[in-house]
Amino acid sequence: MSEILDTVITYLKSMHLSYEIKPIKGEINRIKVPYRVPEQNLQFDVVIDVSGNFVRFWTLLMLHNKIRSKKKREKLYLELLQANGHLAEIKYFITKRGDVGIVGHEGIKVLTIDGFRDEFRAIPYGIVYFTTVIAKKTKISLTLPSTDELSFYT
Amino acid sequence: MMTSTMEKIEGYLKEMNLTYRVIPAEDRIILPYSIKDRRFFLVVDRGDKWIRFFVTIVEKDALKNVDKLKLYSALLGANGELAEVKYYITDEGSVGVIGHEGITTLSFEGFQEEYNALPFAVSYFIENIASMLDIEVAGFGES
Repeated sequence: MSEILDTVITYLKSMHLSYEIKPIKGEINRIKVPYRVPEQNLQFDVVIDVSGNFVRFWTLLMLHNKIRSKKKREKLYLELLQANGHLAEIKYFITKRGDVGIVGHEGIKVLTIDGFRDEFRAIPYGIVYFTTVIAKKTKISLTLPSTDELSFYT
Repeated sequence: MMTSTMEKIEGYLKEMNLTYRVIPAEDRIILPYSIKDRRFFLVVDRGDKWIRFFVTIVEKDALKNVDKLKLYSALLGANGELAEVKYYITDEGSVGVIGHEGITTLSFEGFQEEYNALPFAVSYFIENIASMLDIEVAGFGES
């Protein structure tokens, strides 16, 4: 295991979070952290990939086939891009096939426990923001699909 | 009055030997960038908890005839593929790129990463997104 992976695990332990290491193909070390937001009745995994020069935090909000209408998709994408401007550390994105997610990156050279904690917490914050603000504006609810079978690059 | 955070940022800019302008009343620093013979401005704003770095790439008027779904898909797709790059749409409808650094965790290395990521994002937009969607990126004055 790389030194940076050890550091990430140390940070997760200090945050009292349980985790599961998921070896995947290539150079990526992947950790899945189950997370709950009881107030919103939300349960999902924060996925942490340690690869190259960055630690990447991400999860998926919905699969590409959730929205079939072009007009609704355009409205959702605009809301996500506007939210990207308003919210620090939160970056909504889509995969190549159009799955919607949240991602954050932290450079391994500048990785600290404070920066790690900020990036990690941005994922649940982004999910709650989606539920409480974007879903209401767009009338599109999130489904929080399992990340088990999905690659970030799908 | 200049805050210590702004003084810290100014120290970084001096260390990087960059030209900049300070607007103390707004806790704002503006730096000109020359990218692909066009001029852009990097704006550094100090908030309560975050330092915000942003560059407006193209204004709403230049997007009138653009397929919005294709544009939004390209921006959100790039957001996933490129670390440290976050494209966004302003409330006025312009396209920009933005980054945030926590005030308490701000370091010279983190500042440099943001400073370098934003012109890369502008170049990426011009080369990969604007060219595909036929968007004219004129910049903001002579470089």
